[in-house]
Amino acid sequence: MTENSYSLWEAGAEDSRFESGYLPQIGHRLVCWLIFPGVPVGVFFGILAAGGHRALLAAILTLIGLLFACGPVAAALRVIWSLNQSRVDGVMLSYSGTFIETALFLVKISLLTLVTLGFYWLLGFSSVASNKFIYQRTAPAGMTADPGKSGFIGNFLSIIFSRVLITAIPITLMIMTGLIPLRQHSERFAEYVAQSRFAHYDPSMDIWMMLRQVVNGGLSILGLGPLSSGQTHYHTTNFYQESTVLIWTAILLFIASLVLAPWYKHKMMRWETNNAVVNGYQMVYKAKLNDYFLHFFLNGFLCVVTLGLYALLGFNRTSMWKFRVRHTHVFIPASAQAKSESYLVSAETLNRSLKDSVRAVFNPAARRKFANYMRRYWSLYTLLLIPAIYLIIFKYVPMLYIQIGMKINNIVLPIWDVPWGDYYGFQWFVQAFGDRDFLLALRNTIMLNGLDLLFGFPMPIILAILLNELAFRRFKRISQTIFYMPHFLSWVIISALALQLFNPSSGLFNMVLSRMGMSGVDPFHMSFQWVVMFVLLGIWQSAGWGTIIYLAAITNINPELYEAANVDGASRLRKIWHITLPGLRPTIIILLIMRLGSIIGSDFERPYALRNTLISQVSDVISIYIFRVGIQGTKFSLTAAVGIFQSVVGLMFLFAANALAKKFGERGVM
Amino acid sequence: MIKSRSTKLGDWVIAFVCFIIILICILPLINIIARSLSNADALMRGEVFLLPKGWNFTAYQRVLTDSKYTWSLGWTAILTVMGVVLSIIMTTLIAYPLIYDNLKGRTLINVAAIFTMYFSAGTIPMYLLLQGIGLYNTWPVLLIPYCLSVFNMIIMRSFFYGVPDSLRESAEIDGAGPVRILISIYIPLSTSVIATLSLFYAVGRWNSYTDALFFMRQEQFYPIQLLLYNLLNALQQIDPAQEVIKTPGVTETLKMAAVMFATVPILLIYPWLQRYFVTGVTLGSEKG
Repeated sequence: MTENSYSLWEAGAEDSRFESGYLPQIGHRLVCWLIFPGVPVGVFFGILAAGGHRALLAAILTLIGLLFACGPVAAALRVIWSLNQSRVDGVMLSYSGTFIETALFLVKISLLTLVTLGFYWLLGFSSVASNKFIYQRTAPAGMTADPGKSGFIGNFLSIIFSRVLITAIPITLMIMTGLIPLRQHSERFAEYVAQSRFAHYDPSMDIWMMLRQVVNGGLSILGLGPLSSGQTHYHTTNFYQESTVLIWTAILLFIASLVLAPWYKHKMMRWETNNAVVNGYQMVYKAKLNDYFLHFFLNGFLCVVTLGLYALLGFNRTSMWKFRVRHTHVFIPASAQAKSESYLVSAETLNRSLKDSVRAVFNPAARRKFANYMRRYWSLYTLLLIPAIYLIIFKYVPMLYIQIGMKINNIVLPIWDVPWGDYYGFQWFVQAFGDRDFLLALRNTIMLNGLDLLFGFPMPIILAILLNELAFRRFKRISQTIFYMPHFLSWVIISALALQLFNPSSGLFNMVLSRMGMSGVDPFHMSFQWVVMFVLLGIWQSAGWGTIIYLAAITNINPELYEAANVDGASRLRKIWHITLPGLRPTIIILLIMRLGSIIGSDFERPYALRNTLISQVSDVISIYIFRVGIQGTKFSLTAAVGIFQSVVGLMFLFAANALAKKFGERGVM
Repeated sequence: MIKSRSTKLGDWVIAFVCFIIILICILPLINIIARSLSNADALMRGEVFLLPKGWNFTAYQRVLTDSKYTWSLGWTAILTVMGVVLSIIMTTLIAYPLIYDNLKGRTLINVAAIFTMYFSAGTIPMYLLLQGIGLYNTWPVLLIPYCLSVFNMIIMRSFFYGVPDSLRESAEIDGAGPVRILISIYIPLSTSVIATLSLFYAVGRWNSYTDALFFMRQEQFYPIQLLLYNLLNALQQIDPAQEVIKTPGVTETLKMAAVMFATVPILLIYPWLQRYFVTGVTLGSEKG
């Protein structure tokens, strides 16, 4: 016990040390992230902008001044944080870490310092910042001091702040300086590099080339051919190409981090609360493999962003070792003081737990366990192999091909060698939104899907209720069978049917109309009538099939509700309104979410089978546009961009609808 | 639903409405059958309603003697059978391992599969991929790219979940491996879901023409729906180069006869599987 490196205070002992709340922590993160990436990046772009943008330069210099002013505050906050304690079971605990942790942290901090100093040195003024980095040992990054206090929202906000600051600042600055196109910009920068001491930059160390080689190897194993036929040279001419990649990587990572970081934080919270007191013993949580994974993910993210900046500067190996720091969460025995005699977790245990967690995978017991597991389940992996290969090749590899939507249209070069398009790759989006055909297709897609939603969506519900109310058993079964029938007809056949049915001279529909003394219809030549027919045929084809889900949901409604309603003398309509419809509510919501998710998605078979050139103004939806312009017209890039737009907007609609449903207290689809 | 209730006026009204809907569902089809069997002149005069006027089987004869059409019909049947077998195997292979709760990486595969339901790369990347790996314009392109439906995988997985774990556990105690358990317990128990999914896959393959339109250039490999689409559209524009049909009346009956051949196989099968596919769709909706 006496060897324990954790100091304890008596319960209720007053201590004058600070208790850090959200604000100091948020402030601390804000400031330290501003200092680390903000200053060097700001200086870097300040120099770049000095060419012609005086105002911009002034703004950046002001910003830098502010940042320097923030420095002492940040250092003070760090000190406060390092003294941070938490109160568990009325015992004030002070965290003092293990030797390894302290050492690792110091190494990390010195590396960070070195790298940042290196940055300044690179830019030509090294002495400025040498005194700035007064680091104290702190608790592991991402760990909140008092698990009992900071909630999910607090963590969420703090992480958003820090992510925004580390990534948004470089990106914003890039875009700001992008007032001059990045191409010129990069050329100017390349000139700068050429004049500087980095003129002898070694291209063989290029990180993009390294990446390419790795991916090439992987792809050639899959038989998909190499990504790039030639060698990559680090020339001024393709410098802007690389920076386009970089900007995209940064933006994507930023978005990913916004999604993943709160989740990671939430996980961290859960690990921390794992340290519960059970039967008077403090349970010490041992870090598991996925803790390390998550930690590495976040550090990896930082690493990539920083590496990206270095790549932009033209050297990228410096920081390779910077982020290999791991933290272990070793927690303080809570009731150790109270139960010192029976306290089981000794210092050795704590130290061993650290080693164990690091070597969790490598120790013999775990290895045996893993071998047993594999002996039992290897065949399941064999079974999964073929579907997994299928999913990768036919679902995920095409996602790599999405990039052609960002590149110039080219059908000769291998995809990976095609240069990026203008407007940072947004060329085709810009072009599509200037294209009358595409705008028409977009309008038609939304219009037809909207009408389907408005008129087609309620039909299965009505039909299911109708079927449910049908008293004659046998008739009900026959009706169901017949209602399902149209679902089994293909759209080609339905279009043939419709052509016959609405034939102006001999069609069944027009015959009936003319016998009733009304004028005939000709939906294949009139836009408005075509739209009506499109919606009606959709209902005809799918309403019956749609009832299956609703009928199943109706059978799940408790029959006692109906019996009670009968006793109360409720009418049929009242029962439908007050029992059946509320019972169907969850099903309706889920199907509505799915429908909203596909409001911009477009089926191909239905409009294509029904369309003709006369009414193409209303019938050509996005999928037909992609087919005609993309596959028939070989404008791959333009239509791939349209496809990206469609997928992304569809996903956004799905998420939005899902969030909305959850807000109203329904179970969503995700 | 509730036995004690006596039949009232309202029930008759509902039955009548259902009857009208039934008529809406089947009248167009009956009309097509009548047209396909009618005399061309009667058709022109607009006399064909629900019964054929002037019985006439020439359209059916001509369709049956048209070698391109019958070959396509046979080819689509072959494709459908191969496609269903392939799809069912794939679906089982991915659905079965996922019911093992302690399988490492299960969540990953699950998420990876379901993600593709919500986000897909789109048509053009698929087109380029198929060209890249040399499947474009070869007949397997009609089988392989869309052979696994994640939605159907969810249905099958839900069904497998319904099989009592005790069966699996007792088989494990007897020393059976996962594959053995799949073959001797799960597959025999899930014939109904296999039948359902076979129907879904078969209908999908039989009815779709998009993949052939996008990825197939050789006419001898056109599935029936694409052939039909071309036939209908060519005739709609009354192309003089199309020498198959001389007079418009014959055209109409011929079209309708061709449509009937492509429709009847599925319409004959589905009522027998109704009980199964209702369960299948319900299972899918619960987990989806």
